[in-house]
Amino acid sequence: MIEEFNDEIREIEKDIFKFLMFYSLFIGQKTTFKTIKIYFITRKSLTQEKLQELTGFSRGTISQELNELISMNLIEKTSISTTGEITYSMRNPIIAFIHSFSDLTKGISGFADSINAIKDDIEKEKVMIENLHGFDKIYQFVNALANAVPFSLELIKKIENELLNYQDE
Amino acid sequence: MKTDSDEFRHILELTKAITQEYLSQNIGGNINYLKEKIKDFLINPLWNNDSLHQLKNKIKEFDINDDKAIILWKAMEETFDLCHAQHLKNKSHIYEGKVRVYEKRVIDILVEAGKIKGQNAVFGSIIGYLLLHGSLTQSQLRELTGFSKGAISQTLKILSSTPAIKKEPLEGTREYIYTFGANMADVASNIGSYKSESNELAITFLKRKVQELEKNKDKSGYEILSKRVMQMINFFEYNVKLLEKIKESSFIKELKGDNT
Repeated sequence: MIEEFNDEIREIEKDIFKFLMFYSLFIGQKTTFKTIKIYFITRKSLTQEKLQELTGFSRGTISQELNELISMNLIEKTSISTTGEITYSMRNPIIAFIHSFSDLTKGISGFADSINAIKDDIEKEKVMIENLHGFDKIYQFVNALANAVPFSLELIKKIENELLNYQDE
Repeated sequence: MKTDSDEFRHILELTKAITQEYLSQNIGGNINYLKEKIKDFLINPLWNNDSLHQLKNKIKEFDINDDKAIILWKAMEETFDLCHAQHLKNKSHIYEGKVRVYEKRVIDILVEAGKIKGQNAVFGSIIGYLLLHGSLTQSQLRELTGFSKGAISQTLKILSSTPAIKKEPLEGTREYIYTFGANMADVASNIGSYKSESNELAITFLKRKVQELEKNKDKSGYEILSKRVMQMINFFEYNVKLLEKIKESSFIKELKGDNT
């Protein structure tokens, strides 16, 4: 049974919803995905019908985002009513935050590949272009970024591991 | 085609004279080379410069021999290079030749990285160029990014309100110069959206919501929402401690280069 929120509680939830919509780790995520994810953060358990009432999204969109959330292990099916209605639950809200952190790692890995490709190309052409105006700046910048990326990745991995331990506690 | 030929008769006669002259002076002359040169001479605006014709006449007047021609050309080359160096000094934000291609590639990946965090292309480009160049004016940023004055100005306004960007008047002009405050070490060690300030901000906000919830203890939904909010607060508090621990670690000190 999905618990209804009284008007005052709903207003407080709306504030939290707005805050989380702009939460830095969630920035860049699809609005429909983010909206549904945040309602699982605040409400724990929801049905498709309740989600439709809260978000105004179509059943198709909701169903698609629910599948996405299930595939990411962010939510799970917890019960089916006698009428066949499924209840989905997000066990602990922090799962959503930890998951977004992993997204950040993926972003940095892609960035690392691109910056290393530029670095290799510059090295190949260095003799021909090293006297051109601006070369030193680009060369130093690309090298600094390429050197920094493994550190950043290492750092993120450390945080991620700590967070996973936290989740298990 | 008869009419056209009549209309262009004088031009075609001149063309004929030039071609005959070229072929008589250059045995086995390459007609395609001549066509290319003439076409370039006629359509390239570079050759419309009056000084260019004066230059040609002046050199003709000198009637110089081959040795002198080499000396003259060397002196002219020095003048070309000097002008170019002066131009670069005035336009120091414009990088040269292939370097610009690499600059564009770097900017493109910074823009892509920004998009992951939800920044638009104008935002990402401006941050990218400021990171690369250090300081730039609004018009220089316009020239580099190709974005409209309005888009640049609006984004700079937002960026200037953050501590990362410094805005200072440019002496002797009505312009402002924008500088990216963080150095490369900061950028390198930036774990961006995971800074402790954003966690602290979340804790303050959520604690305020707990107080509001407390006033509605008997209302439906209170229990579940307060439990979820408390779980979030615990998590953000854990993050603050975690980041402090990491900041003090030898790993970060090594990264920042201050482990001496």
